[in-house]
Amino acid sequence: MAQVKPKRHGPAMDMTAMCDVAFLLLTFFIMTTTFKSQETVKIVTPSSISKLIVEEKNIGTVSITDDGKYYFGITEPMERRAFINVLNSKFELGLTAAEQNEYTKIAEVGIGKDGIKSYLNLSKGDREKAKLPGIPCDSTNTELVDWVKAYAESNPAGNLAIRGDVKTQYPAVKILFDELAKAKVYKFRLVTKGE
Amino acid sequence: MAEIQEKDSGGKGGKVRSKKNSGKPDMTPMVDLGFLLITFFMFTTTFSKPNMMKLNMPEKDEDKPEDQETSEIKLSNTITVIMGKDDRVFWYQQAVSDVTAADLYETDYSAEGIRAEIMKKKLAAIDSSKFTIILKPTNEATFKNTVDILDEMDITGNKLYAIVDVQKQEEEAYQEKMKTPKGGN
Repeated sequence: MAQVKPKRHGPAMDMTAMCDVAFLLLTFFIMTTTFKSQETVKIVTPSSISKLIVEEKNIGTVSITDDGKYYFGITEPMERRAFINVLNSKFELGLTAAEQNEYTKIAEVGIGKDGIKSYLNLSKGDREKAKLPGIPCDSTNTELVDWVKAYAESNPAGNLAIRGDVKTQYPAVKILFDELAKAKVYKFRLVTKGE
Repeated sequence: MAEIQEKDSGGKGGKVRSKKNSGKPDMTPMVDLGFLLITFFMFTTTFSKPNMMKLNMPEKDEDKPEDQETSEIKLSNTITVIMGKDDRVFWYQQAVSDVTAADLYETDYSAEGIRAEIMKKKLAAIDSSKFTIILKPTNEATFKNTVDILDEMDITGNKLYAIVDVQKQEEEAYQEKMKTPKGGN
């Protein structure tokens, strides 16, 4: 009786298909990825049903921490250079080109005009550890409004977004609204996260 | 390695034979690399981009006093929502000047709470196309409350709303009402 001899297979697998899948996925992730930007300050945004996505360009963000400190940042690094230039010449901060260059690497700044020069001279590690007072904005000192105005000047197409923490108390938001209303800024975007 | 080399059986005469190449490169390291990079990109990627909601504040005219806001609008055509401490929320339909603690009704941020209340009042309004919602966050409200209530504006589809400061009379009524425990009317 002729015995059907099963063909001897070595335990080899064809990896080509798997390789194809792996690289297909890899390509997808490379194309869609946006890297998490280094956050100066931790803010948990409240959720909303809104479907509008925050633009990547032409957006300046005022962040309000849960203890009512204000931070200002610009999402697009290219716009930061124009902004710091305006801020520098407008308020005569005396920032060198290297310091301005340093600014374009920082996502958000939480220090007023007085301290920004020394803040920019800190090393990256020290900057993360530094305790920031926030940009002043109250009835006596509305520096934050100057920053917003400087941003509007540096980028006329720019919009203003407000990013508050879940626990931010309303008075901090109210002061901001009031001071901006005095500067004739009435249109905002509130940054939230999808539900 | 996916391919395990089988031992040569026999090996006649100990002749060194060059191993036959099958013509297929071993793909395994390449797959390894591929998946390693995928893992890296998956961890660094941000999937949920932040959303936003647009908000236009009323223009402030400093020459005019502000307390005329309700005088021209019929009371049944408006509802005032007061956001308070600890996620408490109250509403009333009254003239601002004579609101008391008894006029404030407590509700919550759920679908059956403030949303249902707004819809009910909107249906009962004389002119529902001009139904106006006045939002008054107190100093004890949080940013989350503000966003939540603006969300409700979106859900109920009411275009006419404004965020206004709390006035003295309301503040008193609110403080009085806050003394009652949460949930009681």
